[in-house]
Amino acid sequence: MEITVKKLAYHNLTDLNFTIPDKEIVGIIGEGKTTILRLLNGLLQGKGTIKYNNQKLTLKNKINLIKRVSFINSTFINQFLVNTVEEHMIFYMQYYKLNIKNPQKKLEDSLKIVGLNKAYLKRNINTLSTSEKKQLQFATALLTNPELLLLDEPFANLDNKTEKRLTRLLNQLNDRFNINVVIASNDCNMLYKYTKKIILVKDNTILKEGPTKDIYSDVEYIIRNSFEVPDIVLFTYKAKTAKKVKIDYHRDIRDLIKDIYKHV
Amino acid sequence: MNNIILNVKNLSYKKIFNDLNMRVEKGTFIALSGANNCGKTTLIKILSGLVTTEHMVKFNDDYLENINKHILFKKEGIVILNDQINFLMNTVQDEISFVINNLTLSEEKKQERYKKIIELFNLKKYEKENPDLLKRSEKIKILLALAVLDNPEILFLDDIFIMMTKAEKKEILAILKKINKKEKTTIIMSVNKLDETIDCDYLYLLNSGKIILEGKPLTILKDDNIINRLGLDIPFMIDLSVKLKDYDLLEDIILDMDRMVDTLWK
Repeated sequence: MEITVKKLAYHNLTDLNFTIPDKEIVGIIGEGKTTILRLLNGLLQGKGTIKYNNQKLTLKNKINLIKRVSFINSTFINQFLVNTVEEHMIFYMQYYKLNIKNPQKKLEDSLKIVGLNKAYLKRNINTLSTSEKKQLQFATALLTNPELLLLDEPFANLDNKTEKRLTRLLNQLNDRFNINVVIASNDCNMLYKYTKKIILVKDNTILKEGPTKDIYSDVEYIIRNSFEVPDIVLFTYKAKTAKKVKIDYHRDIRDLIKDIYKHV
Repeated sequence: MNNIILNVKNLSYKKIFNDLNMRVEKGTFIALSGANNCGKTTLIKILSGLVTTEHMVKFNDDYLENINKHILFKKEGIVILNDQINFLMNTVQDEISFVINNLTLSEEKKQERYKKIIELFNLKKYEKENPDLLKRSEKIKILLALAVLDNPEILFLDDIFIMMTKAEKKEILAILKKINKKEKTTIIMSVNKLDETIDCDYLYLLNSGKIILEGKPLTILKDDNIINRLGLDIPFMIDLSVKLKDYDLLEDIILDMDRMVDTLWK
């Protein structure tokens, strides 16, 4: 799903113009990122236009839209006030009036895809750990078969293992089912690793958008606008400017080491 | 006087901990870390006395459960975050004064304490603002300010650094260091990412309820095999140093980027 935003304004935010291309993982960084996610979700109503696949967002088609867009909050909220995982997911199906032929299988499948077995269906929500809650959030969000996933600080309190599992899942969803993913986060290292495109938000408007690698390669611009630079980029930049070494910007530390080895 | 503030002996709790031992010296800055589900938060809750255990944890020579809770919590500062951070009052000033007014201090001392706290946490800018509308990192600063108001002997922090930018983390870490050095407050914090543990005095790595590694952070973090197996990220500069050492390009761990560049390309 391609999204184009034109002259969108809400509260402090003014004159937002950006596009989220089809089939891509996009990152948003800067103050106001959560508000932008909520605007894309249709939860907040701003002035201006948002187009989904050239279809304008109006109040009438908003209800249809909500099924196609899933929003994953930064923390788990037991919004239906239920006890078990199963009840939570069933309530979610009912809430969105989903027509699912074999609900039991769907529940188990969506838990399995995020790495939880079906024994979790009977678990009390309060006994879940942070990472399990996050996995449950992903599983519930996938029940609607969304075309767009909006994630707010998705990996903030996860360890490496769970983070890798979920990013692998996101990549698969992106590759196989062409699901768009938008990640809003403060963690530039994570965004640099996983996103193809990045949108910088500053002073209540969009500062710049473009391919992640290109944007972060212009280190001086990033620092001048008081954004943070990913560690791996900053190191390469320092080597390049201070010692005139010809190494490239890499995403993976192993590639960087190989490059250093060649140039020492 | 005994120099040990917390002494944990053969701690067993439900299925989470089995025979865990720990000794915390006064005035140290301690970090607990480990993958999800390793028992960080539960350990913090047990050590702070929020979760009751029997004859396993000694706080200054007394078992935790034998100390009057009122006296115990006066000596402790605890920050355990909920999903949403809410405050009672409409301005930051009211929020902090409200807690100060509950302390048994003279009017003069209260004023002094207020000024000191505002200065320490750099809250002057937000004094008149509604704490519920502030950024997450600023909210956490206020929570920390409230926790250290009564000069606690020991401060427990549970995963306060999530969702912050590097600059915000650095600022809060510097403040914590200052409290640790000046007031001699013992700090025990659990963290998710190992980047924040580098400056601590001592680091415990937990895995499924057991202490896997303990010691000075720099010596522990070098052990990339174990840390990767635990499912944690090694801080970038240490990761880079260790990997360069494998290629014989470097002799020791370097934390400063500029120095690293200088040593690699002379």
